[in-house]
Parts: sequence; C-alpha cells; structure tokens
Amino acid sequence: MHSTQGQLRAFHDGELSETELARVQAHLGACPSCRQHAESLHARSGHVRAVLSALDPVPAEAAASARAASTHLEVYSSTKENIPMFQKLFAPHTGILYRLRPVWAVLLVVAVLAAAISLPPVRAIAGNFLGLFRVQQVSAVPFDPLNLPENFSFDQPGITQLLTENLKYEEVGKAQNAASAAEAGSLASIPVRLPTGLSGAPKLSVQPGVKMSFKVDLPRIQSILSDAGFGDIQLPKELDGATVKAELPMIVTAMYGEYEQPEAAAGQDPDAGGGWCPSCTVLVQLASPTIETPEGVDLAAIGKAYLRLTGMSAAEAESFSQTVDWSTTLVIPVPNFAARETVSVDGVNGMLILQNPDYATQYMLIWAKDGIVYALTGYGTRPKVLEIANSLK
Amino acid sequence: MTVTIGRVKPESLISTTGPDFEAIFQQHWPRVVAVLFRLTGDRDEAEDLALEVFWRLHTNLHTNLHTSLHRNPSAGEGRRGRPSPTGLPSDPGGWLYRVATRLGYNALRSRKRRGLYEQEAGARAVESAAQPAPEAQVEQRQERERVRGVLARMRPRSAQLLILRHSGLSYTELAAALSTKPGSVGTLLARAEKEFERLYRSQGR
Repeated sequence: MHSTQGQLRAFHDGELSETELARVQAHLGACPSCRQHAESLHARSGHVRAVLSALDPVPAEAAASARAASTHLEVYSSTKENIPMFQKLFAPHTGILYRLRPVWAVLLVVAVLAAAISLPPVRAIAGNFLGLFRVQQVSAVPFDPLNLPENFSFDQPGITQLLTENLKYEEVGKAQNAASAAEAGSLASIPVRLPTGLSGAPKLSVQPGVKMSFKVDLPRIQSILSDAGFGDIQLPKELDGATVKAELPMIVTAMYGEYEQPEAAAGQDPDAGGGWCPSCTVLVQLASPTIETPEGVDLAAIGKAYLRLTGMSAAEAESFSQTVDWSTTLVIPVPNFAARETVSVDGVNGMLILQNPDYATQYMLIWAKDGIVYALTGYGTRPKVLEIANSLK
Repeated sequence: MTVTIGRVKPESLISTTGPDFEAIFQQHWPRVVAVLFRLTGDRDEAEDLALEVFWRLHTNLHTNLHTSLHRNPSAGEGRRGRPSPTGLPSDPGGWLYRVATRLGYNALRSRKRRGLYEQEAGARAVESAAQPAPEAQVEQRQERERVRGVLARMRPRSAQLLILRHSGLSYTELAAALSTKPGSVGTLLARAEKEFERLYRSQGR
C-alpha cells in the first residue's frame, strides 16, 4: 500500500510516529513512485520555506522582550477594560502599576501618600492631624517600568501581616446605578456635571467610598523596603507609631457607549472577542480624596521616597520633588512610553496621558476643579478629548 | 493615585493573575509576536495584536476562574485566589496561536484592501518619492508584499497553517492551534504548500 501524501510530508518533517516511520521508510525503499512523490513534496516544501523566510523579522525588527511586553500588557489591559483608567491605574490585577504592587502595599497610606502634605488653610479643621492633603492640581511623573523591583512578591508574609494588623478599612455607601445626574449627585453628595459634547444618555452609577487608617510601624516598613531593594530609602522617623488616615469619597461614573460583555471563553470561538468597547467614553468624578498625616512629618521626604519607588534615582527624585507642591498635587506615575502633557481644560490645568499622541488612541485626562477630581477616559484624538472635557455642564 | 489605593482591600491585593498566566506569557510571547509580524509586516501592529491575544487569554482565565468558583466554591481555596487548574484553557498554547493567526490574518487581509486603495490613489508613489530607500530594502518590501498578497488569497486555514509551521510550531502544536488531529497535519501542510506555490507563481512578476 502506498504512503499517503500526508505521511510523506510528515516524514520530511520528522513528525511520524515510530511505527509509521518504520512503515514509510520500508515502503520508500521499495516504491520508486512514492520516492519520487516524497522528493517533489520535499522540494516544494523547501521552496515555500525559502519564500516565506522573506517575512522573517530582521534584527532591526525584533520585538520587545517578554519582560518589556508584560508592562505593555498591563497598560493595554487597563485601557481595554475601559473601566475608568483613573481607578484601573492602581487596580491590583490589571492596573498600569501592577508591577508596583509590592510598592503600593508598603505605600499604603505611607509612602504613596507621599502626596500627603500639610495645607495651611485646612489645618484648623484637621484636628489632631496637621497634615491634610487635598487634590487641587494634577501632575505626572514618568517612570521606567523596567526599573521596578523584580524579585519581590507581595505574597510575602511580612506585608500581609503588616496590613492585617495595622490597616483599618471601611467602605462608605454602596455601589448602585443612578437614573439621573441629580440622583447620582445626591448619592455621592457632589454636584455632578456631564459632557454636553457627547451624544446618547450615559449609564450612571456610584461606587462606594473608602475610609482607611493605617498605623505606621516604621521598622517593619523599612525592612520591607529593604527587601524590595530600596534599603537606602529612609522614611521620616516621625512617622513611626503615627496614624495616617485617608478618605476616598464616593465616585460617580458616567459611561457613554455600548459596553460588550466578554462572552467567548477560552476554547470557544476566539474571534467572538473580549468585552471591550473602543467607542466608550467614561467620565469619573469625585470629591477630592484626602489624606491626613500627623504633625511634624516631613512630607517632602515621603514624596521623595515615593518617587524613588517609581524607579527614579535619588538625585532625580530630589530635584523633581522640589518642583511639586506636595500638599495639593496628585502626582500620577506614568510609564515612560506613554505621552503626557499639561493641557488647559475646564478653566484649569489638567494632565493628559495618551498612549499615542499622533492619532486616535486610548487617553486619560485628569483635572481637579472646585474640590472635585475629574477623570475622563476613552478612545479618540487629542482635540476630541479636550472638546468633550470642555463641554461639561 | 491615592484613590485606588483606598479602594483596594488588603486581602484582594494578592495577585489573582498567578504564575500560570505569567508562565504562559513568558513562554509564548516571542513566538506569538513573530507569527504576527510575519502576517502584518509591522512590528508595532504585531505587538499590539499580540497584546490583544494575551489580554483575551487573561480575560478568559479570569472569566473561567469566576465561573468555576461559582460552580465549586471550594475550587480556589487555599490557593489565595490564583486561577484553579480548571481556570486554564485545556491547551492555552493552541488557543493562543489560533487567536493570533486569526487576528493577524484578518489584519493582513484588511491591509491588503487598504493597500490596493492607496495604490490607486497614488499614495505609494508619493511615499517612495519622499523617502528613497536603499534598493535592497525596496526589493525586500516588494517581496514581502508579494508573499503576503499570496497568503491573503489563500484559504485562511492554509495560510495560517503555513505561517505557524514556518514560525516553528510542531505538528502537535499545529493540530491544537487548528483544532485538528496531529495525524492530519501532514496532509493539510502538503495541500497548503501546493496552494501557496501555485498562487505565488501565478503572481510572479
């Protein structure tokens, strides 16, 4: 019996099972026509391979390494999911700063709250706490994701234990949908504004706020930092034993566009696509989060520690921290491959972050006005983003 | 930034991405991008599509995880929220390459339509006049266009098979990617090569 074309082709690739291989070899020895067939398959396969090799990437076209790409993936998934990027930025699984997890853990209200600083006018109402951070402006600091600590796992008992013992966490309000801007506004106790430059009715919802307090155990935090390769970062001594409080008010979300739910599971039709919505635009607004820190803490020092944790050198952190008013500025770490610029929006300065500045792209625009922080995310061109943001009523 | 920190409950800070996805990503990323580069000829586009592929895998892992946890609440216990074994597609490799080649092939076909349009509009002539490239590069680009033109005209499954094989997948991997038996791969390859060669010759200049 002659060998089949498939067997001969697999023979050429060395992909036959042992028994098949023996059978085909024996047959080829005895059958000139199959031998000829095998040779012509072999020749054609070689030719096709040679032609296809024109498509192989040359060294200049080499792709990003898996390590660099995993960072891109974090950015990608955060924008794809089209949950407000503002939140996603720091979400535990898909946030841009996923890699920063260990860092954020430590930061929980300590280092991160680098931004936390005292604001003179509100000192009077801050009670025992003399430092109160409130967002009045938004800035960005570029960081190189590849500089982040690699050999550090958040799962380590030290951090979990630290959080379990020292972090109190309480949700305020509950997640629910709202029928109108007025309803959402009364749930969240803020005046809700919506863009008039977008067509269609938004899906409005509110999400619970959070109250946290964190008792600082400085030696343990320093030792965790040290394990993460940041042994040279010194947090202010005054922090030890202090309680840092943070409050995140309820968030109002307005989503424009149809969000498709991911339906196809792995193994089913992969072309069915995941739940992403290239046309969705999302506006998030909330009263400024606040952070209270105890009296006498050098907040600029915490600010510097925070910058170091984003991969900055000590010298860079030093000089950058001097350009920031830490008491009022929300400093957002932006991966260095994304474009960022300060733009004039809604009568104030905002921070515009674009994945690609040259054409329609995923964007995030954050600004603070009259005690409210706004974040607009979606997909579009730079002028379109500003047009939407400036149409808030 | 303070915002989401506040939203994260301590216990949920533990990664649910887990080592499984990470391992798959590390293992397959270079080859998935290479497959997509061959199909699209553009590094950025290839990487974007590859990100899409892995993002879908990631999404599916999570979807499945949640589903399996709902069906069997104890499934994820003791693993600190990492995907349970049932949360993984039975063969993530095959799934990855199936999705990658489909996305890449669709991009190739739509690019070809765009390319024809641009050609008619004379855009290409303007471009090449503005940026004189070394002759070798021009030739390489032309040859690549020709090869992709052939792939675009082939039956999708054949074209995908050729690209995957050329990217170094074994017959077992090819079978998984194309949802067929390893024993059928030889036959499919022989057919695909015949189809490719016929179209390539007929498109010769």
